[in-house]
Amino acid sequence: MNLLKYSSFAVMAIALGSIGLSATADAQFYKGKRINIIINYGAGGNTDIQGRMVMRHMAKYIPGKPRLIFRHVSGAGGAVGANFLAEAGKTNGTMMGVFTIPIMAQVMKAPELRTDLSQFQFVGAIGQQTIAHCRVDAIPGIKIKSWRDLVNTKHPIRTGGHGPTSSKDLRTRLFFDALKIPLKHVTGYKSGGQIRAAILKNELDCTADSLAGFYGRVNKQLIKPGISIPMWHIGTPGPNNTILHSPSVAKNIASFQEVYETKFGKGKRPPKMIWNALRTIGGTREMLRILVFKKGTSKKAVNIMRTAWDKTVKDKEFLAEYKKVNSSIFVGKSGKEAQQFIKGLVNVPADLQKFLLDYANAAKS
Amino acid sequence: MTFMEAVLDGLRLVLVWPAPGYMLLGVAIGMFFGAVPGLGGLVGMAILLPFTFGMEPQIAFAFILGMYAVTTTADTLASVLLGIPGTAASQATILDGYPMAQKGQASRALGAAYTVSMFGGVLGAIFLALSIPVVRPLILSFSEPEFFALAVLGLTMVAALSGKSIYKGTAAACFGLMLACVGFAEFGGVRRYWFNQNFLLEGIPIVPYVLGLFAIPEVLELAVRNTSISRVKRTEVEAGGILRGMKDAAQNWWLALRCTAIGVYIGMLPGLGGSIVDWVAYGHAAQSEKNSENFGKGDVRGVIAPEAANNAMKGGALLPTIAFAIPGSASMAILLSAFFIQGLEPGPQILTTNLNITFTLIWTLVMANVVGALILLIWGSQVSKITYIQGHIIVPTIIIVVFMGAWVGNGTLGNWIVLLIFGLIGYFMKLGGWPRPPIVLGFVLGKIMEESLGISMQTHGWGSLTRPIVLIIIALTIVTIVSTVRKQNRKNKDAQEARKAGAPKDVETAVQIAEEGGKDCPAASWPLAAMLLVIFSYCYYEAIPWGFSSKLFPHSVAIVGFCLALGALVKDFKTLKAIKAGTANLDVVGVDPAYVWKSMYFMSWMVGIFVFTIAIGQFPTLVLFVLLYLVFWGHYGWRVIVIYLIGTIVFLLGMFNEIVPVLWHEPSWLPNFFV
Repeated sequence: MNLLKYSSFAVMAIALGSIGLSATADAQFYKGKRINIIINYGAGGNTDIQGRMVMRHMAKYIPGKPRLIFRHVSGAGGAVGANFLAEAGKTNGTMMGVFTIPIMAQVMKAPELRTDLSQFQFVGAIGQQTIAHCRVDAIPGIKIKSWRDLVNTKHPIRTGGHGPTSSKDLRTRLFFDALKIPLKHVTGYKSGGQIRAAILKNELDCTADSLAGFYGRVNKQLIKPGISIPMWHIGTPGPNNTILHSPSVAKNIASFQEVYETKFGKGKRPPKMIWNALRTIGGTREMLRILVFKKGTSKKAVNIMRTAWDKTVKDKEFLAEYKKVNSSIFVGKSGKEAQQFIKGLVNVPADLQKFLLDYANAAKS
Repeated sequence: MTFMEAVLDGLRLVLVWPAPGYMLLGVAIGMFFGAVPGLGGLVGMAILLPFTFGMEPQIAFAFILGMYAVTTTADTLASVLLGIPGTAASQATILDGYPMAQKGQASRALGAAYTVSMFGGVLGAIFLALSIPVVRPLILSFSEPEFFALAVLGLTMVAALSGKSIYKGTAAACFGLMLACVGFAEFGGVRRYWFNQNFLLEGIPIVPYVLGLFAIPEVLELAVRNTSISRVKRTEVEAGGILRGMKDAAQNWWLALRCTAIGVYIGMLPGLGGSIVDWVAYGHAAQSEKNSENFGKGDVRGVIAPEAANNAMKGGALLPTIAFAIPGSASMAILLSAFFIQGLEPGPQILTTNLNITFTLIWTLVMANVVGALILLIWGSQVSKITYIQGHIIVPTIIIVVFMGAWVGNGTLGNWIVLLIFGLIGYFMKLGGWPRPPIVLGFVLGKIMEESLGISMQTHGWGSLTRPIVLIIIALTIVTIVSTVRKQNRKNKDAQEARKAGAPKDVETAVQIAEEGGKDCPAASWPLAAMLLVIFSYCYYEAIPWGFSSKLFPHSVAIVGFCLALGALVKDFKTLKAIKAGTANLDVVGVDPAYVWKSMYFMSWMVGIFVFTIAIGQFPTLVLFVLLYLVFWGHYGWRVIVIYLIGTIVFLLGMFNEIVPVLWHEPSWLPNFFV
């Protein structure tokens, strides 16, 4: 009995000692160091603001209190920053990326992305849904009160985007093509702000924005003044070929599947490729922003940061600020979950890849 | 709350402690960010924004707007004293500011610049206040067709910026337009002229581009000739330059007022903004002022115009941001974020429910502009003494500032490639009498033109041309072209008559002034014309397989540019023939081969900075460069060298490792210095 008791004590002591030693080692790892945070979009954009906000809270949970240095390595829709981390980044844990994931570049095999995104070591990820919205006077003679008024129109709806290969253009066109709503798509706008301005000037009717953009900007600029109304959100890919309502979006904003089934009947789906493309794009929204290290980064650094991330996403102060800034609840993934999820995102079947490329090319003039 | 109550409450909020303290802190930081090339208001905004979390709204806005308001006041320092644009909004200031410094009039230029900066900044803020009730229709009436028409109007300024050679000026502008096509064409989904270099996909980065065109040629000259920036001795310069500059500003109040209005209106239009406002104001001054032949040679009006406009622009830029939540620039996007963080809702409602907060912004702009300008006016004459320092002492510092300024943006070696390439082009342009301003103007306008043309055709089709404001701008464009042609013809006629009368040529003073297109040097000019012919041909050929929308603009520019470059080449050959025949006119100058070779030798040192950075890392290379320069070019004693090196290390580490930390380029085989 005594032996068992002493053994138990010994095991506990060793375990506690190990934890203590490990905690001390963790604290030493980043002590006096700096972590260079690479942001793959320019200063002042959504990626920058969200990245800084997240890292400010996460800093509380990084042992050793390293100094966080933010650098913008922008270009090519985020690909330049991703390449930079993969090619020039250090593996000693002193450089990490906070990226808006350039996933479509990888899916569409864009030459500017020279790295495989699934090779990064993921610390965590943040999801951001997409909400489509439309001017209330988009159809002459009708005041649109909900998406039900829009889905059966024969009048072309004017939509806007950033370029034929951009995610915004693809999903907006896919929405309307799937619903068989005629559209006149105008592309080449440099920013979401320009598209919103065009809607304000009644040059466009409809576009889709991230949740943060929708609640932060669209809501104040277009929805509250009564110029536009929200239509639907893309939703989350679910089992059995479904796209589910995202938990981060209010119940009164339908998912795309709900809209589609209302028009065409329960269980109905648009052509396979369109539906699969929408599911893929929906999936990319599940981890729109990612926190990553370069492949081969020290396991210790990755573990420390994953632990810090896990604590951050439970931090009430962080969650409250996230909700204040984004007007929606936080939806994210742990490092391990994100590492798994990315594999599914990048492994797009060849036929879908071809479809997306052809679909984008069809819009090029 | 009535309008007047909101005005007074806004003032009260700004004056309640600690808001004034934060505003002063913001002003101090803003002066620093404006004075160091490559930083500017955008970087400052991004750095300060996180500090505003948790602040009261009036304090947060006093802090970040205090900083933002004065960056375009302090940026004049580098533009005038070093010939390096401090921020994108002071590019045009160097055209006359730097020649003034070369003539020993730096403090006069600074005095004029700060006075009109204060004037423009305050008036811009007042205009913002007055415009609140009428802003909506004004902003909503400008769309892509109007932007395109405005950009075309802007291009007509090329003539005013072309010096004596309209061929060279317009060909250079076409080169700028073509350079604007580099990168990913969003509307066509085509990667254009990117040579598989990722850093080019976002287009040519403007800061290294402008630094290369303007700063590198000046550095080469300083290093090779070892002169001070001022070619006039300090003892020969009259005291009271600052006061004289202030007097100049007062005398040219009407020009300052017009340029203030230009600044406010351009600032109001989302998407135009900082990089063109100074050029438009400068072009306006060069076109509309009488006796404009000294523009580009150190005319104080060439400083007054852009400096009044770039401060006034900031008041204008706030309008769409607060009234519609449409940020016209990246800086305004950050300000918009600050609104959201503060729980405020920009949009028409802020002009009613939170009007006092709106006036807090306006009062902050007013006060920061006044405080910033006063501080700089007090210090201006002291700082201007830098222009009397010997070339070899100042060159390493300028090189560090230029290279790091080009690096700060996104910290890639591609920025240095751009800096060096355009440094070389800028040098030969200056040598060959090619005006450099049109190449910058074409570049900044090209982006606006192509994008707005593409969207206009999709949204309005040919109906774009019949919109009322477009028609007005087209009429203005025609009037401008006609008046410029008449002015040019009159000038040519006067010059011919003067020659016939046997008048002596313009007196060449001992001061080597940076004439933009003011001299004719065919021996150095024709290779550039030939290079442009090759570039335009290549650009046309490369664009053939692209879609219609992607190749329309580059093809049009290539054809026009080719013809103009050909015209310049023919003219150069004619002049060369005339030189051989002894019938060339008196303005033609030759090339000093020794000077060119020595310049190229020093250029190879700068290329060495790039190569060594790849091999041994950025920080050691820059320090090594300073050491080698002081030893082999300056021939200084060890005391000077040690003190200089310590200063360099402290500056590099303090500035770029602590205050504005950059990602240093470090080769993978070396351990990290900066972790």
